[in-house]
Amino acid sequence: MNYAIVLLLLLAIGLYGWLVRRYDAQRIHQINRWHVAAFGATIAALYLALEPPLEPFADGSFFAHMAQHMLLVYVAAPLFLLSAPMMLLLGSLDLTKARRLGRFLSGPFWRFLTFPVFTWLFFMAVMWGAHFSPLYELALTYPAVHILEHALFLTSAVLFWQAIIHIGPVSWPMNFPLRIVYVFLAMPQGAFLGLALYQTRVALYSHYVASHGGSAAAALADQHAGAALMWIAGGLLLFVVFMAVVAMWGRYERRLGEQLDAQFDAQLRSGAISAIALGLALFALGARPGVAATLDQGRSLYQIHCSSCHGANLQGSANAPSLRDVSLDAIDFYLTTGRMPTSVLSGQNQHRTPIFSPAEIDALIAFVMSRSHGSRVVPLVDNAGNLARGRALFIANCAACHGATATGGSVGYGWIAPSLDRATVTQVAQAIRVGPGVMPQFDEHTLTDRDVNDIVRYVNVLQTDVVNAGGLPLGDLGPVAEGLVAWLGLGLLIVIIRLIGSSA
Amino acid sequence: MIRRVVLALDDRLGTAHFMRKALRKAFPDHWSFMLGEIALYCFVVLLATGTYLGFFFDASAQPITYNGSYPSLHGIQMSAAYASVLRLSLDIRAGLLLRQIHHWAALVFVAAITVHMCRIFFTGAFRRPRELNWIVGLVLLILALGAGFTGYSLPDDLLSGTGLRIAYSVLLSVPVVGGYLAFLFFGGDFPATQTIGRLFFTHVLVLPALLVAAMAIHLGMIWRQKHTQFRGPGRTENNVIGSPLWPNYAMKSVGLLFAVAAILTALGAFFQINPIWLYGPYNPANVSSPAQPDWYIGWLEGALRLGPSWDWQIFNHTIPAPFFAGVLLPLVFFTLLFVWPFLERRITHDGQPHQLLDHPSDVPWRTGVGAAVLAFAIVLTFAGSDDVQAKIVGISVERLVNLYRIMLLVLPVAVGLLTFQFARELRARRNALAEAGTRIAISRTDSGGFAEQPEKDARRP
Repeated sequence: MNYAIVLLLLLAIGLYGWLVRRYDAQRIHQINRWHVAAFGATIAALYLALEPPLEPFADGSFFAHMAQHMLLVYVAAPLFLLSAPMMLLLGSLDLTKARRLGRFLSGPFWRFLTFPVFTWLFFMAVMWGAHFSPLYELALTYPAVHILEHALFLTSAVLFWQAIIHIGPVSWPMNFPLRIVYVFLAMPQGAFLGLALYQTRVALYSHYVASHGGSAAAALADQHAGAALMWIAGGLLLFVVFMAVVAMWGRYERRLGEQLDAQFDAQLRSGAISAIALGLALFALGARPGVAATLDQGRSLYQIHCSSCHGANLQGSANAPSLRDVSLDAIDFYLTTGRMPTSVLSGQNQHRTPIFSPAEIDALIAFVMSRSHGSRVVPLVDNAGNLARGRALFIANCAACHGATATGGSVGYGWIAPSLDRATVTQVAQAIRVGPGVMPQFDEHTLTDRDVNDIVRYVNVLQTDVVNAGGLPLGDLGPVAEGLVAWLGLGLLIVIIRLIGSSA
Repeated sequence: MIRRVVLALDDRLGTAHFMRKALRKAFPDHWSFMLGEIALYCFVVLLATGTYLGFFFDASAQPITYNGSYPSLHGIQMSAAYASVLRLSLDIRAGLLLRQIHHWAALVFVAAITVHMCRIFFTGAFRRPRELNWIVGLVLLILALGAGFTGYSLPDDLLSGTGLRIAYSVLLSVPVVGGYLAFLFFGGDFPATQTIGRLFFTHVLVLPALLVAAMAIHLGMIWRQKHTQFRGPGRTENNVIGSPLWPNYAMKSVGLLFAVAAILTALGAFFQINPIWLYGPYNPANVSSPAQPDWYIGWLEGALRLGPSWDWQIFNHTIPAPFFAGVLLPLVFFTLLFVWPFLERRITHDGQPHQLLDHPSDVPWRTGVGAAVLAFAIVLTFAGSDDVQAKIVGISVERLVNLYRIMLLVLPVAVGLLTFQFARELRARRNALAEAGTRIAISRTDSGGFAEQPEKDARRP
């Protein structure tokens, strides 16, 4: 038993558990337990691959070693991805770090690393290279190189699988046909490699010749058995994945059809495109309380509530913009302020109570962001900014439309700068960065992160009644409301003189 | 003791004779005669509270860095004037209460003057011999507007600074002398350091002194000319029916003073007005929305908002758009009010002195014109807050502006004609009733019952 590996696995379990706890604590709702189960299975697969009873044989047998590799590459790696590590990490880090990570994930390095063409080629290169190069021999000789080799296998496999397992942030979202092609192309490669090894006439690795008591023939037989395992078991596993992707595509299309049918029925029933009736019907269809955030849930929610305007593939329509470049901030803002989904096709969306639960919102975000190239940077707000700075910046940048008291105002052509009394600090920060409606988008050159943090602090202070000295604020409408009240006061005085005077 | 003092005074000044007459002076009992009194008592409250505020206000544009008790403004540069109002509002005992009472009193003051003026107008009380007092009353209204606007502008906050900016531009728009006028009132290019000092002096000395003087003349003339009165049994052109000043009317009036003070204090205590700490110090680069003046400037604000964007070129001299709505319109409006008594005399050829008031329906055409002018002013006032209404009702501001433009042209005519017709019908009905002889004599019969005897034969119209 290799205690270092056990220790590492225990560490991984501890880290994952810690992340889950932080995630659950920060995000109101809890993580889907299937992710946790997937992580458990990952650990089990890793243990199976790297610990007795398999491990002692791997040193002497190519077949056993191949079984190890199969477990790592085709089982542990996809299971690990199914345990949603990146989603957990982003959701449980504090804002500064999440922001930094988000920046990294949207950065060129990560995008190159996760580019599907690269990941496919890289994975194949590692598979071929490892078996037909001195690396394998070196790994068998030096344990450190062996560890490196396993790490390389795992890394390339994780990169390979992340292209089709869309959980958490996805840099290069692929639709189902592309994913099927991606997996399909991998199948012959695995088979070719297996066949290539199977057809070898010489024992490739002197280490195994030695471990088989110096018998080259025994080593060759072992080599062929391992190759067969790679060919057949690898092929089978890839085939299972292939079928799973096809099944998911089928389910996706079926739901899309159902949704279109429901839409069509609703249209038939109402005799016209009644957006509200449709929205209600779809909401009834889509409301599945208690379901935690998953990509599938996000997808079905999207299809039911969003796709009629934003398009089945986020491409947008005459009624709504494309979401292919939408930022995480924007989706979160529109959903948590209840501005989306909307029942009006033109005009301004109002701040309402969101129709989705936080879990459903997260599912939608997960789904849309899996297909969007937009920024994943989340605003850094801790509600501890500099008040006086925030006030000055608010007056200079926000008050012209939202008013010095943040009660909102008209900005022309029917647009309204809404009152900020319901907005959370995060939503205010998101609005600054996103610029919803006709609001200007303030980027980091106009308002730095520090500026935004200061502004939201002041908005938060405006929302509390600390600043409302002097009695009822009369809706913070200024002289308009004051004038009306003054006339009411005069009205009262006229009642009094009417009472003490005569009427003739 | 009191008796001895009074006797001594009488001995030397002969006050007893005057007092005996004065204390028995008759005041009409009709409630509408106390509208002006509400304004008077508002002014009393204004003087009392304003004196307190004056102790703490620093009329200086000197820039200072704030480090007082309001954390949101820490380290911010502001004028000493703004800082002193902040301190007055948030730190000085009863400062905010008295500031709020002062501001509420100003709003109710002008409102009371307006209603009082409407009463005078619609009952024809301005007719000979009281044309002069009508003019003095109008002067009082203008002084009150001036005092209100200068007071509103004193704190040097963002909202009032925006108002001053508009006033400055409107002054500049006056052809030929605009620049000089602006310099006179503002002491330099806006924003000038001298402005606050000039505003302060105007607000606390010039205008109150003029107001007191004009009020003395106003009341003196009433004293001399005596009150008008509504028609009624026993009321003629040669008498005044009412309660004597002492004790009846004096009691009522003192009661009213207390009522006015009580209501203004309640407003100041329970309703926030002009929270300048939220608006922040004035900075020409900033603006808040919605930005409105106090209600009595609202009609001018509305006129600027609805006014056409004319820019006339005359002799190479530009007459900018604000001139028409911001200068010409109020000029025409007040000129019309000033000359109305003389205008009406020309139209009616009635140069006789009148001590008895008209019922508004007695002179339908005057009532119609008054209603039309009132409608005009009210439409303008409402147009002054069109952005707030746009937000509340969800119509675009542009559409609302056009709606108000149409209303400004249509509504006064419609209201005027309707009022005219209504007054005419009211008058006809009253005349018919009067002719119908509704008075009935009732006499006790010998058997103990009652018998009715119509005074005249009933003639149905």
